[in-house]
Amino acid sequence: MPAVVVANEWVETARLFGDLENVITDALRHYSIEQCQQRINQAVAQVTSYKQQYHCDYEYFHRAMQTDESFLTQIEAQNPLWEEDAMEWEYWLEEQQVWLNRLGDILRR
Amino acid sequence: MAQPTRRYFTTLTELVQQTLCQVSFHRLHFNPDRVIWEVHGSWERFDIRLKEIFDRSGRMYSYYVIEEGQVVVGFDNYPDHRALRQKYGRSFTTHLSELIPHQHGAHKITLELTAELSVTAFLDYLREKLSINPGE
Repeated sequence: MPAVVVANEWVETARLFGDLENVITDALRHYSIEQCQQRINQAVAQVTSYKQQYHCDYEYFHRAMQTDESFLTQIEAQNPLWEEDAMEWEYWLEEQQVWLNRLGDILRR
Repeated sequence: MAQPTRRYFTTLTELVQQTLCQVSFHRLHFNPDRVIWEVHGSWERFDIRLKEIFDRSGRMYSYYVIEEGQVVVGFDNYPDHRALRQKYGRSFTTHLSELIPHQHGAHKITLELTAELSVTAFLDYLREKLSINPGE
């Protein structure tokens, strides 16, 4: 288990709320949940904006861009730089899933 | 695929700043498993857009030269229908998960398969084909 240096003033304050180890663990848990939620919210906002822009979800978009020439032609006419969006859309979906998984792990502990 | 370090992206950004004008650093979203790096710049009448994303698929990239909103030339490795068909013909559906490096010509009318490209190689291409010379 790693040891972490914490300033005395925080240790003294934490002791006011109970057992030091429990208080710090609880504080870290709350902080981690909040950070996970912030990252999930950021990813969801990005994914939603791409969904609205292209009027479909990424799974449909990706498959259609690979297999449907007319869909590709239509998207390319609207936005010739759609590849930038497609790459990033996939990125944010992965980001969303990773932080959802991490949040799930924390909440199950 | 090993993740690049922050130093890698700092070096890329410096390289772009030395080569292009009006460079705007759009973002570096960096975490242990995934990275987005995006920089825009210009040279004479051309807008230059560079984006690299590292994730579980590997390194995805998009390097484009734009003039008045239209593609002059672009390089990316997104496996779209035309790139897949050109590389694999009728059997392209068995290769949907592969990244396919390719080059788009003016207005994206043509597509040519290429080797994987780096920012350095793209800037070299610009110097050669668009007569971009740093500091001039």
